[in-house]
Amino acid sequence: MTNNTNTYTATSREADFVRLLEDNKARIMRLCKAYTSSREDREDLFQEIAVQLWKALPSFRGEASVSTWMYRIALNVSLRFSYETKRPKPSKERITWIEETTPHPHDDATRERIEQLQRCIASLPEVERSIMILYLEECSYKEISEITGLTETNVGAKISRIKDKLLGCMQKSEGGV
Amino acid sequence: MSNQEQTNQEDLKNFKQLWQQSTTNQSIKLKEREMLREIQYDMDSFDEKYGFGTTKQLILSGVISVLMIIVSIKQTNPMFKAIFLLLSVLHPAHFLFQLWTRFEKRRYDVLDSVGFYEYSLERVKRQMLWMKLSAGFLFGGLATIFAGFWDELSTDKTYYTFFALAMIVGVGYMAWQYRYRLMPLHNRLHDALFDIRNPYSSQNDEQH
Repeated sequence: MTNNTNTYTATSREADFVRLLEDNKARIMRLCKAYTSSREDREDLFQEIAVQLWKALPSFRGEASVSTWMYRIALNVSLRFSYETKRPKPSKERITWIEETTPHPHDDATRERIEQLQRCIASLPEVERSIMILYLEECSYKEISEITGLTETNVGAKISRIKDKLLGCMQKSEGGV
Repeated sequence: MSNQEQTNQEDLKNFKQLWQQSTTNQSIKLKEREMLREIQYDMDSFDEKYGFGTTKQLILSGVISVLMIIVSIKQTNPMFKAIFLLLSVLHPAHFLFQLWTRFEKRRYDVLDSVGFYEYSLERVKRQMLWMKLSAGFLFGGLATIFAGFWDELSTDKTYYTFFALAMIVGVGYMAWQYRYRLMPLHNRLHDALFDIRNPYSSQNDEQH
């Protein structure tokens, strides 16, 4: 990804953007699912993240890895999105960015476990949810620290607590089924 | 590691797999959103041309201002002195105008499409207003040269003819920009905002 603004043409910016979105669309979508409860909201959030990434792309300087940069933006937009409960609903006429063809191509049991996991993650407080999502996305403690602005030690301590919460929630859900 | 810890570790590993399986790149299809992207390109070039802080704009502004100040110093007629001094602050004033418009961004939620269109439309409208003011001012200066002071300038007609021509070109350029760049962008933003606020209007139009 070039960071020279003079040579950063619209075409190369578009190519970078499309590649970034193509490579990370599932990650972004998983994040969207953790912060929204309806399909419309999910699509709106995905779109807003995409818009924000598009706008921020020319200012990406390569100081952090692309995924760290992307997660930082996506998480900020998601948190803001989830706070703004009274925001006006975007119209359905907006051209959709995404189409989820087969959301859960799994057997019933796996699908049920995935839904339980998503419910448990959605029940976590905002900050813990962000950290857990990054942990499940295989981000290192260092990356999580860079994205969230917390210290690595703090991230480690929080993850340990959140893991327990998540395990407890999942066991409770499974016990209740 | 105790048995319980080992089980927990396995569970967490399993959660990671489940989480990543929940949505895959293959299960998502991206659709183009041409309208927004096109307008974003337009707004990018708008920024490049009229935005605050581009090196080209700053250099141009500086050079014009310095030239106008020099010309102003050369004048003996106080009216001319005033005109050239005003011209020297025209470009810096434009930058302040743009800066002020940028500060207004906080009033809009540009993460939301509606906010983005509203903010963009507002910027284009203000630029159009600025174009009218600047062109009007240049035109006024031009009229002053021809109407009031032409006779006094008989000693240095070539110099002032050149200056008047530069002003005519400036006014023409602004009028062209206004008509063929800003007006179409304004109309497209206006239409996009209307479509977003009235989602069913196009369907209704088609039915009628």
